[in-house]
Amino acid sequence: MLFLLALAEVLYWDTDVQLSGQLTHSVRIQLTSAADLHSHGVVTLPYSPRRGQTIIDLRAATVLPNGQRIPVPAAAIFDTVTWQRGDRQDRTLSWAFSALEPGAIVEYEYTECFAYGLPLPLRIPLQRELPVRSREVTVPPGLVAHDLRCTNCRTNLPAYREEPDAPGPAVVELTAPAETSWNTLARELAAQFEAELGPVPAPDAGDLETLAELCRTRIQNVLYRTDNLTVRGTPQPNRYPAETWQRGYGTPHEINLLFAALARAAGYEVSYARVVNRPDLADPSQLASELIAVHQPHGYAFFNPGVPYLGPGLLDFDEEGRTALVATANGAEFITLPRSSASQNRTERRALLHAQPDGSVRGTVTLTFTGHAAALRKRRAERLSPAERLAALRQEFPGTELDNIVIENLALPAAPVRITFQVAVPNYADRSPRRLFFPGRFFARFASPRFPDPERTQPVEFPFAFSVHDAVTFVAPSGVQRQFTRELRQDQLRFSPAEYPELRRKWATFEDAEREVFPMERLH
Amino acid sequence: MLAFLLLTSWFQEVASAPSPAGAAAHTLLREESVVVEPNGRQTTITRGVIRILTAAGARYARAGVAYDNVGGKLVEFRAWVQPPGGEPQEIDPDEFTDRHLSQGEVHSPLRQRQVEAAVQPGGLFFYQSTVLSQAAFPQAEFEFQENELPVRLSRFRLSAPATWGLQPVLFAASPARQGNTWELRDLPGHPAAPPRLAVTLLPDQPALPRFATWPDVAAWLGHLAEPAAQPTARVAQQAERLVAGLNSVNDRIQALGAFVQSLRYVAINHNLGQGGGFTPAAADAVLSRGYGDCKDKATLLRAFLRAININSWLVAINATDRTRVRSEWPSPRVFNHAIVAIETESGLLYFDPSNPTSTLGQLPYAQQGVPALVLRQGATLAPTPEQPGEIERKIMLRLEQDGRVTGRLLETSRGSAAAESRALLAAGACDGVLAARLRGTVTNCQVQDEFPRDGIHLYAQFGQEDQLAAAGELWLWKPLLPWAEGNGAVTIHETVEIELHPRWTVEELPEPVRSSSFSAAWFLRDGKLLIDRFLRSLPGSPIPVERLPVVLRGLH
Repeated sequence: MLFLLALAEVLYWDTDVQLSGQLTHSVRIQLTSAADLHSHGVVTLPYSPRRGQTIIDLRAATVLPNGQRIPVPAAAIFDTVTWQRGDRQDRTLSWAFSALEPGAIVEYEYTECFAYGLPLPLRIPLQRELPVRSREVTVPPGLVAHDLRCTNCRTNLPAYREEPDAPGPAVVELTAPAETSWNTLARELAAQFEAELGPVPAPDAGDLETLAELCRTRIQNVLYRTDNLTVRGTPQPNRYPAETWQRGYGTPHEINLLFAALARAAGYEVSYARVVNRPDLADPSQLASELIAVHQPHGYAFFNPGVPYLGPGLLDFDEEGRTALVATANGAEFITLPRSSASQNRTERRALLHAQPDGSVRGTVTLTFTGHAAALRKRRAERLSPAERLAALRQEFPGTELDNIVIENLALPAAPVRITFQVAVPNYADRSPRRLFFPGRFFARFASPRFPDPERTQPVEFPFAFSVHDAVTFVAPSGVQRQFTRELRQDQLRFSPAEYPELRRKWATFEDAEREVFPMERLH
Repeated sequence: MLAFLLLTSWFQEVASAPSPAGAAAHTLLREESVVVEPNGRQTTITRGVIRILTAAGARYARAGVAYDNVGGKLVEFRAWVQPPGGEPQEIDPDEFTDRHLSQGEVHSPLRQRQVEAAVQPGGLFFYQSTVLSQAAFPQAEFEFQENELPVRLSRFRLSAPATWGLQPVLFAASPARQGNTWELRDLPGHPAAPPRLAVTLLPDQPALPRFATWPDVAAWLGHLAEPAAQPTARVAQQAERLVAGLNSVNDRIQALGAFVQSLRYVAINHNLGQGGGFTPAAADAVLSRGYGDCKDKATLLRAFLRAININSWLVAINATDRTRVRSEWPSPRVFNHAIVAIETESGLLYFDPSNPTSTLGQLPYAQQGVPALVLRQGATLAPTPEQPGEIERKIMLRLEQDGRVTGRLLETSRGSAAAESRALLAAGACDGVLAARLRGTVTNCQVQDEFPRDGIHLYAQFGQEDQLAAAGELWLWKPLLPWAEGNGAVTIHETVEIELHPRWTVEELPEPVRSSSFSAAWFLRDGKLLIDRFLRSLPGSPIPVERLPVVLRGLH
């Protein structure tokens, strides 16, 4: 048996877009190896009637190397409701190509119809799981096409492979042409913001971080659910910031407005701001999350107290480094939002472990998370009951016994998350006839390598800078102690495939649990 | 309100029952009533009442019902929530979710409707469903406890024509029985094995199958399977082409098997209520389409074999659950896979043509030693053969001055171990597969596969980064790699020959290890370190991971 890598290739993949709401796709795939027949011999096309989507005019066929064409009969194409709730459905069309052999070509063509017109902005993939020799997207006049994650990539596109921490595949985004300008939009946003603001009692607290903290802690956020942040039932909307202040709860938008009103009452000049997906396209659809911009002597400070888990000086991690539109009565101003530092998003892990003569260890572990590291923990905890949180923590330390687990500050918006527990790990040490050796990098034992693959096809993108600091102290029965420390600081956020080996080496050095050991004589 | 009370009088039966302390939720009622009509149609009414006791127990406020939307029908599915101290409220049917139950099939008529509710501690969740089905054969099964929750009352009712016979079989259960109603009360949570009842009905109409014994099951399944295995002229011609020039029977079977293995596995299920799940597609159709599911591929191989005058039979097994097939309950529904038994001079040769990596005469680990039913006259359950795989491995290493390791590996796998290696290598490049195992960089990786004959040989040169851990003046080295946890029985013999750079001297060697299934010994000979280890693992038994270092002394 000869082993061949899957060398299938999409010969062409055309998408013809019609303004009436139709996309006609034509795909032709060359299969090369026996493995290709298994991987690409069945096609499943998902579509969503609940979004007004249907598929018509589906035709599919196998083309054998001798030119013989074997159409897939209509009876062999299955239309399946994959999900249904009430009248809303998701469906798939699926079929298997017949008589495949290495060298055969499979081809299919179908038209996607959108009953309510093209859902703009519409992203059409350019890449797929196979390399694409020719990719055409025909866009009618009246739409604007913009390539994302590549530029003018229409020939010889590499296969897209799912890899951890990778951006998505290349797509072309279709939008309607801008019918307005950012200045006009900004004036409208500013006017609406001013209309929504109202007088509020000026609090004693003066500095901005204190005001933001006040909004996060005094006002219950109806969107976030961790423990005491929850507001039961369906609360009434607040008409003005003063109502938000009085009722003690609010949506993220209402909390942001309250912060703006408080800051203005304290004497600051405030403006409304929105993250912008594409500054080149003046369209409301390009506006993402909202922020409050506070004028400073040399620019702006941005705040988002509507997200409860952000500590001082932090924006949400998917806002960092992006472009913000500051809306004023004079028009739009575009500002690049600041990024948080690795020091702000810190994971600190400390263990005090007593080495036992049988090779096990027992001790205490303290984990502290700040910044986005804490926010991620808090967001994850939202979905879990207290018992599930304990179970999830136990899963982070497989092969150990955890007791007296205390998880603190999950519901305190900006406070670091702190977790402490007792730990016992049987058979922890390596053993020779005369000695026991306790690996010093205790925490490395519980994590798989972050980047196991020696090579990479996609870039690596970290969502934010972060640092990890470990300190593990071993205490022998004799009282002898030794501390092992290690640190990882990830400041750079993007790595090209060429830079990947260097990144991998850095992580491997950090993760290698077996590099230093704490020796102990065995008792006989 | 009156209609609700009439509808849910069953709910009142258990609603006030006390709940045990410590449980997250309590199943107050689990009830299934099956009515079988003379024509074999079944109506199944299922009812459940669950009390939520803690916030963590809220996730048990859910129910689901499976049905065949072509041969059967989901007539009704309703659910209610009663908050603590409140009145029952029916859940809006638009909140129910319906999904297809495809397990990798291109098409299947099986679906599941499910509902989840938000219930506060102290509240109740209850539901009722009615499903019509055209069962291919008159049998029923009931699990008295479907999850880890304690159960107050679990009940199964069966109604069938009075002239039909009935054979109940109980597993881990001793329910009270009154007529055709079985009942268990106050079951504690977390059962070691779920208490279960399986019932076979014995109709008096010849049109419906009767499964009093395993030969009855074999005969019925064989009757469904047999017509599809008739070789047409095209099938016979293809068989002749594949065996042309091959003289030995074994070579001819091997050639036919390898061809069917190379066809794609594609499952399309129709007519489940009429036994479609057990009826293969005609061999000629499978050949022309170039794909099929397990029974289709097995049937094509049978047709090929028949065309060259070799007898074979379809074999029904369960390939994923070794405990599902029980001799006490003859039933087709316990099987989920079809393979082939081929008549040879030395007896039956079992072969799975849906598995692309096993060689003739070898079954995948999961199919070894499991109860199997050969679909021929008078057959009863018999285990498939057990065939331990074999791995012979030789590793030559050199520990360099800086702690890096260079080495060569030569490995020969046979039997099911070869099939596993083959599957791994089919999924990834040789160097990538080995690099992950060796935790290093692999160069010059070569594979020599004897497929469709047994045996696969791997050769690789590799390097590993600094492997040593410092412990003061001493250095720790674990030259043995953890043995990957295998899926089944395998014997491994490994020898490692290590050359040390003059910088290193051996301070301590591990003591020999010996048990009934594992041995390892370390030697120093002519300045070289030698390791010899042997392992005989059984399915499901953990393979020891080495934490036995060699202690070296070396100048810093």
